[in-house]
Amino acid sequence: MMNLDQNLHKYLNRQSSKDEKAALQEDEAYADYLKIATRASALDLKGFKDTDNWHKIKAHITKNSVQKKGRMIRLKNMRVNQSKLWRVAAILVMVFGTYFFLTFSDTTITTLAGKHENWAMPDGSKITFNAVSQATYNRHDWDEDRRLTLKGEAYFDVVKGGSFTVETNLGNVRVLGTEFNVLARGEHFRVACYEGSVEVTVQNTATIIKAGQGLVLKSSGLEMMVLEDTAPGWLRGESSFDQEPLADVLEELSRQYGLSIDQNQIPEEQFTGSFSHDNLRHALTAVCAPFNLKFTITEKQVTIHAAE
Amino acid sequence: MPQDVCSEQLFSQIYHQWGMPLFRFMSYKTQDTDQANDFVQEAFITLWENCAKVSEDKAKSYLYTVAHRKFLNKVAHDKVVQNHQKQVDWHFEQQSPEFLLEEKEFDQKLKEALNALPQGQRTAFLMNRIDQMTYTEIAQALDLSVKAVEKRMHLALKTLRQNIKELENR
Repeated sequence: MMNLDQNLHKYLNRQSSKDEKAALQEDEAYADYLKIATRASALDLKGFKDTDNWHKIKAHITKNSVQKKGRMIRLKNMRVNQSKLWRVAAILVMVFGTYFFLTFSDTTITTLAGKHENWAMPDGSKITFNAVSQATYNRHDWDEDRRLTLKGEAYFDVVKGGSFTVETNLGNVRVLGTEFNVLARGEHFRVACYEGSVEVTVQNTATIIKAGQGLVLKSSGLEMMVLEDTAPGWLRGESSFDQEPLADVLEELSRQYGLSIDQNQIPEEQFTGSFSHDNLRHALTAVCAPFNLKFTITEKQVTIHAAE
Repeated sequence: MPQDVCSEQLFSQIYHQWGMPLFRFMSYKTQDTDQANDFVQEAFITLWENCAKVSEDKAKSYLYTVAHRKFLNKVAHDKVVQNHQKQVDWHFEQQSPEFLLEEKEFDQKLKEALNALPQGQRTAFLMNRIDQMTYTEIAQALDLSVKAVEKRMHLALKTLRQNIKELENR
């Protein structure tokens, strides 16, 4: 028989079962503890000076890092002109300082080819960015208005709260607390909803989709689609396509692997299938084989050509 | 080998993620918004100064440990007295439509009772409730045993319950 104290600590550590919680409710004092504990979980604090703190931290860091970089300059030839040394040092300081300023004062997240990034927003919402994507938002305003611009592709896990809006070149996606994926690259615009519901606005027309539904922008307008999975493939290391131009598929492949692909001899075909993110040869074979294409891999480039 | 946090992008990401929770942590302790913000700055600056020694996955616990130690240092040197004038600005998250009037009164008493708790109990209790930290994480941050955290949690609830009852009887 578990005593109430043990039950209480299990509950507070979020490890108790329904029965254990029920046992606590039976006792007057412990029922009060439950009420207090539950209510206290909903508390939050204001007063965090997000941007202010950051500027002060950054100011201190820039000073420090310049010193670090300075120490890294090694002189092989001791007869180096003294004034030349100072010029090199001054330029280094400036370049480093500028880079720092740009990185820290922007509220922009950018992912490079071959990289996915996880990002936590000030309210606890989580975003996972696919390769070669960029988002910008204003942290100062985030409390009152959760809004960001997106180029590329990202998966959103939004905590309940006020509205949350993703703005892209082709359309906007607005949610109240849910999980969804937005792709906005070039002329491609695709939204997939995995939990809750989202409102998608394209050219002043709003459409609401629910979990398990998706919307894709075609030349004829927005088309509804049914999702086959409970999460986008790219999150789990696989990119899938359904009747998409081969050139687009190869572009995504180049983004995932961080390589440039010479597409001069690509036929205008449609691809249905997928490639994984962890093996370049397998990925290229998956995409090329259906069209009888061969590939050559050199250090940073892949060339694709028709089989002879 | 896990990456250290000397990368500007990574460091900035860590601030985005743990700046606010760290602010809360220092607010529980100091009950002073200005001081809490100052401690956040100091903790992150210290993290940067030691960035080569801290791997990405250890950044959170490092920040908490550093902030906790800085607080203890300040208390020892300045004999910081709990400032009851500048209370922290508690507020409750967005309410559900089923919010009742009696809850509003209970909430008010809860806030008052929290402010009146001894620092050690309040800090451990809110780290568990608001920041959803486990007893093990709290123990690590506050340099305590898990048993000691259990005790603080229990005492906090007992005291809160008592204080709220007293406030109800006013």
